[in-house]
Amino acid sequence: MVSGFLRKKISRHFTKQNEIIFNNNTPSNNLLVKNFSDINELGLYLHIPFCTRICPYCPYNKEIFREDVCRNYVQTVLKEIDYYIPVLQNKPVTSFYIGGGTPTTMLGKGIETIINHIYKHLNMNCFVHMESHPNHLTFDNLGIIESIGVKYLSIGVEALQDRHLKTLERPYTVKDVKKIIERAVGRNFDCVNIDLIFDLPQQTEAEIEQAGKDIVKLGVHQAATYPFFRFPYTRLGKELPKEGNVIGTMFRRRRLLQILEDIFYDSNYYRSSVWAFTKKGIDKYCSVTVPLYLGLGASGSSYLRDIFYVNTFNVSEYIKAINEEKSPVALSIELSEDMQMAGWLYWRIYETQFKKSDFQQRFNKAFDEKYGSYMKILSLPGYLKNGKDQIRLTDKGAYWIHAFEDYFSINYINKLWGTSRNNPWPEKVIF
Amino acid sequence: MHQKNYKILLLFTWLIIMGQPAIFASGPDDIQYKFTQTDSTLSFYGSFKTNKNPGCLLEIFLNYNHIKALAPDIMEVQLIDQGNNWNRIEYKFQKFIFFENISVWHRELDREKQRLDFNLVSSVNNQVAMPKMIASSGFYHVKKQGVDLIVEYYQQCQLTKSIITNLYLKILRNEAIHFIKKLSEYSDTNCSDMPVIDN
Repeated sequence: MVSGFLRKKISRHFTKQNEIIFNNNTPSNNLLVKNFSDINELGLYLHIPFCTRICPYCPYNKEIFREDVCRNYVQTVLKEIDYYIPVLQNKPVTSFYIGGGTPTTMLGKGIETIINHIYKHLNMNCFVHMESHPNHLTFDNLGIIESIGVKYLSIGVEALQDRHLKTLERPYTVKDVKKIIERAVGRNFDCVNIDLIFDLPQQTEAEIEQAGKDIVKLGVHQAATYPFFRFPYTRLGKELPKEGNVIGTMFRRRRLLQILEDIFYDSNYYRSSVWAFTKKGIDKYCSVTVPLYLGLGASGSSYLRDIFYVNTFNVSEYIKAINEEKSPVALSIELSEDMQMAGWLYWRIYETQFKKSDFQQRFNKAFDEKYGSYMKILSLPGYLKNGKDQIRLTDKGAYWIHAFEDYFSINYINKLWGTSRNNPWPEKVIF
Repeated sequence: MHQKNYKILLLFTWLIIMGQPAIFASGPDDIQYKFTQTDSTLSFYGSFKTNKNPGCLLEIFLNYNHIKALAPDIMEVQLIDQGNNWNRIEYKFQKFIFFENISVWHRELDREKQRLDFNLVSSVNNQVAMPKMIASSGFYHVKKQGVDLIVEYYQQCQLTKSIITNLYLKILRNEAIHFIKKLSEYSDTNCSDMPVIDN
């Protein structure tokens, strides 16, 4: 109750809104054309909502892969792209990220058609960043992945101890997955990222240290190391005993992350986001931090300055809506300037460094005028370095400020995603 | 019997007696089930309406990777052998910490009939006092009933007689109810609706 009250108070302070309400308004074609006219460049996100098996901890939108559904999904995404071609007005797409689900379930099953269509009809100024399942990375599949323009590949390894892989029900052993990683690193990708979850049930500091050292030894270009979030609507979220106190969890996670920081810094990696470490000289694999983006597919979400909208999560409803020439958008929210600024700051903090002048350029307002006092306060305990134009979060600042942000965002994500999974067309979601 | 084991068994019996009032309750409206029980056999029939893609339902029935999501007391599932439309798998089932059963099942899918049949190959308990499963078989079936699509689940099992056979049958009843509820929830969450429009 107290945490809910605090969350609301602080959220109100930053967004200047009593409530944040997503409703079922569909943005009109005219509104989208206007919004895209106002932006210089955008990111593109494509959601592949299929998995061959359902991982018990995964909060993302997915369903069991079926070839017939997948075939229809491909044709439907092509239609959604066709809708956006005139709307985008040839604006340059500067990042392209394919997530899921498991995008590699669609290798040889239509993902190539979607990517070709995108590169043929949109103004693409980037290569593809794509998530993958280790078991799909055979020699032949890696060839296909390279041939469709993927230069940044993320592998959902998740753990490097067999007992933790078992808890997460990942269908491979550490021995197998290491061979797979080596195979991917040996190809010509610009960046091979592996996802590693830490703070798993009963995980020890020694195990995290071992995992960090193994990653370095494998020559991986980037490691994205996320704490184990228990979303209440997932199977493990329901089955595992509730976590102890929040503060204790935060301190434990800080300790574990510190172990990883030490290993990666000693091995010539830099921090490229709150949770990610990238080898120096390597262009980072990135997923979520692009300032403005268009999302395609079931549950694809789009952020265009003053509007954020989400497609229906239900794959069948997504297919049905587009084939009936209706909008697949299930929820949207108009963002006030304060909300946009708060959102901008959230993601820049996630990236751990940013320029104040970028804020000025985006909002036509001095960063220090808006957030200067907060930056001064946060620089006192050494959470960030507050330069003339550059803000750089220190390691402890990156962790603690983001932990504070998570306190809000996990709650929001949980409510928005939880509702959208249960109801394809919710009337509204109120935070 | 070792005295410690005997005490555990007594405690177990007490827990079952105290913990069972719910097993006779009827299920949610969309899930129907019935039991037929003699002193050492039990058959369970359950069904529910669905609007999910039949191919996805058959995939859930056959693919052993989904079993843990449907039966939380199954601690491990191992694939022993498989062919195109069949597999042989081993479950390790654990209840109340101290009772473990390892069983091997042969499962075969008939895609045309939209039905998967399963048969018990072997079953081993870790507690001698527990009744042993002598035989068990059953099926999963997706069938059309008018405009509705129905998922059926049937299983019968025969146990050796022991002082706690009756109690054990009650556990199995409870497990079967949980199982069909989970099957309904899991397919609802993880399968596409049907029909999907052909582009």
